[in-house]
Amino acid sequence: MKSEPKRGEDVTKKTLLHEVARNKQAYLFVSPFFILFIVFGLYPIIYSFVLSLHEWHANKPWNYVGLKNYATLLTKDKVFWTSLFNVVYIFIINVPVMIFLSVFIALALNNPARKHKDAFRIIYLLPYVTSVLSIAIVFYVLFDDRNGVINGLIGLVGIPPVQWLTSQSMSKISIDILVTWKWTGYNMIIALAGLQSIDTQIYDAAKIDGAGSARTFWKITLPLLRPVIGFQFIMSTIGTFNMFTEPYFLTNGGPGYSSITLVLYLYRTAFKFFQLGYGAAIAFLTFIVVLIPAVVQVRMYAERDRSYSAT
Amino acid sequence: MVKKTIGTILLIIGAVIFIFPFYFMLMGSFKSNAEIFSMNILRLPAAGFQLNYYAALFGKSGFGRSLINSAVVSICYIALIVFFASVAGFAFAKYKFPGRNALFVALLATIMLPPQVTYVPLFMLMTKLKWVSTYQALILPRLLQGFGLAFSTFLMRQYMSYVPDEILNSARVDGCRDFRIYAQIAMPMVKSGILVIGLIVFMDIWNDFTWPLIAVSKLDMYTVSLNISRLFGTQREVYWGQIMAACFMSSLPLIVIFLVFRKTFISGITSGAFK
Repeated sequence: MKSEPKRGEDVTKKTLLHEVARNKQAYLFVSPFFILFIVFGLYPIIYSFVLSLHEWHANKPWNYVGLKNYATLLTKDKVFWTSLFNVVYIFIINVPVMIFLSVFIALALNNPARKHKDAFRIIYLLPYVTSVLSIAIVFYVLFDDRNGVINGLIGLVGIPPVQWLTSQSMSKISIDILVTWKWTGYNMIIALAGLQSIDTQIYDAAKIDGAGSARTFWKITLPLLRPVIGFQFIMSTIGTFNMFTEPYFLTNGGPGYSSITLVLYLYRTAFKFFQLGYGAAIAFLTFIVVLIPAVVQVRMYAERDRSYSAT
Repeated sequence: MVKKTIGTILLIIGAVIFIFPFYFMLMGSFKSNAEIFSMNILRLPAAGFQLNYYAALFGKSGFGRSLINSAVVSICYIALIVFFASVAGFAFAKYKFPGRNALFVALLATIMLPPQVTYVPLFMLMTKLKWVSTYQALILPRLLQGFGLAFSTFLMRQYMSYVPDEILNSARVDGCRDFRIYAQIAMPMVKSGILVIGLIVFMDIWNDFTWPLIAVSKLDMYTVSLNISRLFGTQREVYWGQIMAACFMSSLPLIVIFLVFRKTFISGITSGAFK
């Protein structure tokens, strides 16, 4: 049944129709996804774009304004730019730290002499399986200015209390701490799988050549981990730019707008203030922001899929 | 040797940091506000392990109802994903039909779409269909978001491609219809794939917050996440113990399932990534 489909000039219209008819079961099998996508994906996207060209408050008539919503967002809307700045800020701090930690932990766990590997893996993965909102609420309590555990702990070593959630300078850092805590384990598992796929003979050869462990890491391990780190990087980019729940619970975007994210701003505009046309325009701009990493992500999947079907 | 010891110490410190919030959550569910906001983090609850907050949670706040809602939504969601993804994965892996590659690329491309682009129109669609605060609103549009149908189909196609063609062909010679070949021959051979997808999808839907926040307004249709959010945000007098109890109850099913199926879970994470 399975061989590469023959396509191209030699397929005449008649045989094409014949092929389609012969495979009608296959079309039936793949159809649920496409029907659902048209109703709950494609139609809303088109509708969203049309809506973004209008001014519309709930229950009032639509008012066509062309690209005015986009122009306002890009030239006058300080909150939009602040929310874009915030996600970039959160991203720049979080991603390098998290990827470094995940590779470091994976290296420590990949040591063949290490005991209790499974226990460590399970503990480090617990944050990943727990809901963001439960964790965000716990961190909200831990970060409390006056009576929070974190300020208490740093007080033990003489550091004065930090306004984790109530100062403009720290609110984004607090979100970073939460995100790093939640996602390091997941990234560590991916890094570990990457490390385990490296042929141990390469290391043996390096040892014979007299390469030290630091040199082995920089010259062999890291280059071979590049696709894995690339995957972590892309997934974290998309995750950070689409972030909503963490700031919603931890800081509600504040104080001021110091930790508002793009999706939180979209949510407020559309579902709190019911500026639906303007909200749709924000949504489209966030789409454009994540488009490049998302294209890279899908190309990674497509490439891996090709390598699968080749074997 | 020294290096390994340092590694071990760091790993243990890390493990403590990763475990501590869970410990805090569980202990907090037995503690008064004053005890939660104090530095005596290691002290056991003053009143002992009394289930007051759990009783209050299930008594007044409708938490039991929201647990049922989340369970119904999760079960239906997983069933739909597993069925649609496996049948489509089977077709993509085992039939060569005109347009197959183009359709598969189109399916992959939908992963790029951030769900927030569709929130506003979907909410309007739900209103028009009178689906706001219904199970179908929580389930059907969600199939296209997060770790949804597109990604599950992508994984399912890989599992299906390992099913040997000879077995399928001989069933066909015996006169089996396409759907029977899928259901009775292919499906039992991809059980591990179904488990992987079921677990990851369960985590995704059970923990979901953003879409339920938009799609549900009636209290008796609240999911667990929405209920916790309400406890956290709208109570006049916040009983942190009760909120910690709710957070613990919502985390418990996932933690238990994760511990039971940890091997499959981990292989699921890596199969979604790179090897």
